[in-house]
Amino acid sequence: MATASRLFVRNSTGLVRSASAVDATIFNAVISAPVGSTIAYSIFFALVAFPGADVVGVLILVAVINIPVLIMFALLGASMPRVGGDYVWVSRVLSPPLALISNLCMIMGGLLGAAFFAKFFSVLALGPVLVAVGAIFSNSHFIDWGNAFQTNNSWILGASLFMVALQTLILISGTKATFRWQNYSFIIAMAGTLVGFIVLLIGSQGDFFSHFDALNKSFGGGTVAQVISGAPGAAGAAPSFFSSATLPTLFSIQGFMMWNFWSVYMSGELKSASNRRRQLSVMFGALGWDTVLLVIGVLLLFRVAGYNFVYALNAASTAYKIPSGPFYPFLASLVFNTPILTIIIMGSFLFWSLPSMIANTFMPIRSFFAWSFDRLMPERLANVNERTHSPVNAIILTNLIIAALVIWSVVGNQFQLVLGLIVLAGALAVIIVGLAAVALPIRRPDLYQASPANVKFLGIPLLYIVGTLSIAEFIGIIAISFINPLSVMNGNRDDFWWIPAWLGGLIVGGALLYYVPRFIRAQQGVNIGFVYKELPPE
Amino acid sequence: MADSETLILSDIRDEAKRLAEAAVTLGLSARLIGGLAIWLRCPSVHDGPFGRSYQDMDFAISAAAATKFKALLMTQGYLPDQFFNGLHGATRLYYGEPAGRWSIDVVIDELVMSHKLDLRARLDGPAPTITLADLLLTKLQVWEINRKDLGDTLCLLADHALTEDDGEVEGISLPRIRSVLGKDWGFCHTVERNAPKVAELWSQERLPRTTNDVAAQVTSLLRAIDDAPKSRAWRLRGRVGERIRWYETPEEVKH
Repeated sequence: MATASRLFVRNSTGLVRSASAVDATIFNAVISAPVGSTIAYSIFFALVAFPGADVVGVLILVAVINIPVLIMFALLGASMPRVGGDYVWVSRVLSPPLALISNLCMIMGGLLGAAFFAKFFSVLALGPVLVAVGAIFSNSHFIDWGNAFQTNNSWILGASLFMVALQTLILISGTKATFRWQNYSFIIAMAGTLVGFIVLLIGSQGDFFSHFDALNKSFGGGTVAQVISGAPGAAGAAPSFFSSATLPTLFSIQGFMMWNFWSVYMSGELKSASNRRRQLSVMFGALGWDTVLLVIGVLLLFRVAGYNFVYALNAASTAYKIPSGPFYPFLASLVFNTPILTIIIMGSFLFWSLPSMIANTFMPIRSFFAWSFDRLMPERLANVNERTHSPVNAIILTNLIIAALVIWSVVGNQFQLVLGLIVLAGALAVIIVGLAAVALPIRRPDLYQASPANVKFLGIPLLYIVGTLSIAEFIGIIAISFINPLSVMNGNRDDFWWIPAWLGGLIVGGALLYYVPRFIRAQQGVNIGFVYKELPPE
Repeated sequence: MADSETLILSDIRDEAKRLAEAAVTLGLSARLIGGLAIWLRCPSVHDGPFGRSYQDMDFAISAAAATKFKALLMTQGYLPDQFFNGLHGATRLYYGEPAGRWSIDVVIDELVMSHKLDLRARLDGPAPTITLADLLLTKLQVWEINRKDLGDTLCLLADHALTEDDGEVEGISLPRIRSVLGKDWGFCHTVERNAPKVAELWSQERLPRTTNDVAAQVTSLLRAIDDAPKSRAWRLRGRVGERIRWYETPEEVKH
């Protein structure tokens, strides 16, 4: 038949999943290194924490070393595009307890990250924005409110828990609505950040210094030159890629740049998730977007403000008296110092928090969902709401944990320390996933042969190469934390014991998450070991 | 004949008819779609070159009817795929026949495959299936079209005439087709690519007794599509053409 050659074979009614490549790329981009919030707070501290740090050079280096990691996750994600990500791969290829350890590591990263961004909204976004706007427009009420959102525990708790409540409602309203909120928030936030970049690109250093001097003087501070001289080491500071600062800076920057594989946790909902190219494009798209914009953003700020002045601002110069911290949007607003640009740049900054919270929170919810289907958790945790079709119980449990972490972060003094340990949890998880990647062709040849991961490079399975490189890289990351504990320990060497305790706790915790439910289910006559012999349904 | 332990009939075609009619009787906005809907509406597909076996049945339901329709399936003994329904339940549902003989796919509010067909407010007609125009669109929207789809479409066009009356139950409503395809260039383009394949198949495998000349029906259909008023979005997308992919590729899901 003439038409036969142009026809296709289809065995069942197909499914077009709900999340697009754009949803997934933004999902990665807002969890890994959300451009606006990263450039505002997570980069320039390295100039002072690790004198001589070459931020641009390390950003590029970090992007390069993440390449094998992302290829590994993309291959595994395309081969087994299931809810649960590493939990499914490791449990089906290596062993269930190891899967729970790696998954617990990722979950802790997600939960702590969500709590961080909830608090970020109050302390590092709303508060500074109000103070900065108040300072620029000479409004003392705004300054007072802004200070309260940065320093008053009740105000901080109120704003942070409001964000947790908001994202709970969004997540309950369903996957489509969740991605709509994520994307629109990202677009608004990114647009403001790009306006800041344009301002820094076309503005002059003379105007910026003139506006800064006038504003700083109005609060009793000094000129740009006085700010530089008021910060120890600022005048002579110069970046050097080949210095002892590079490794600890690499650890810090890798801490927020390593998560571009996060979209594997939405593989169950991602269109064409079993397509290798799709998986690679959403991960490398996000990595490329974040890296290029962060490098451009850093270079633009150095162009207008100069390396030494930015160093001095981050070194808490005694001549800096403006009540707002010297965060990126504030500095960008000063270039032209006009109301409309200030409102756009500063107002849009408030939108960075929500999409990052959503992306962080999405993963634990899906993992709890996958666990409960494997009977590691009570089945009711996977119950979905009849109207919104979202797993309400899992969403509420996850957000209650995040709320508890938020409270801890506000009233306790160890949250920042634990936050620094997220990267170690991620490193441990990636090492375990790397082992699974290397083991897949050997332990599950049936699965491997037919999968999109069956790719060879110079005759060697690519999974061997990228798995081994990922393991080596993250062993190196953990080694850096032992060599330079200050890069993890928030500056306090006495807290060094947290590193082995944290890693040990994750290993023991993950193992317990498997063995305790297994024991309980065995008492009920259920052997949960059988579920790990097959891939879960899609 | 019903199985001894359940209400489910032993033949999937009879069972599809029974469930679809039950939905109508209960007043649910739920109608049969897919191959079994064609079987129910088109005698030509009952035997001859395009007669075939069926592995699954498909329903389109409104979101408002979801709870009652799920209850209907459950009371008949169908087993939900809890994982799939938990993850995709806002748009899709999946149920298995207890003995594993077939499955039921349910789309909610809209069919989202190669293209999106909004079925809201079109699931309350007198027939146990969606309207014939919507049935035709569900078949011709398939980018990776296969012989079964073409055969079903051929039988649909052979047994039912195109009509300008949207209310005519046994006619294929051209106003509906124009309305859908005049807004969506991609959908329209796929239909325009697939329709000639139906005519080509007709030229090779004619049915012995038919009401309509399929080749003439395809020509009329393509002319109607061509004459349809096009939205601004349609025209803008049309300028880009095939340089950007205009269809989705549905994935087969392992349950």
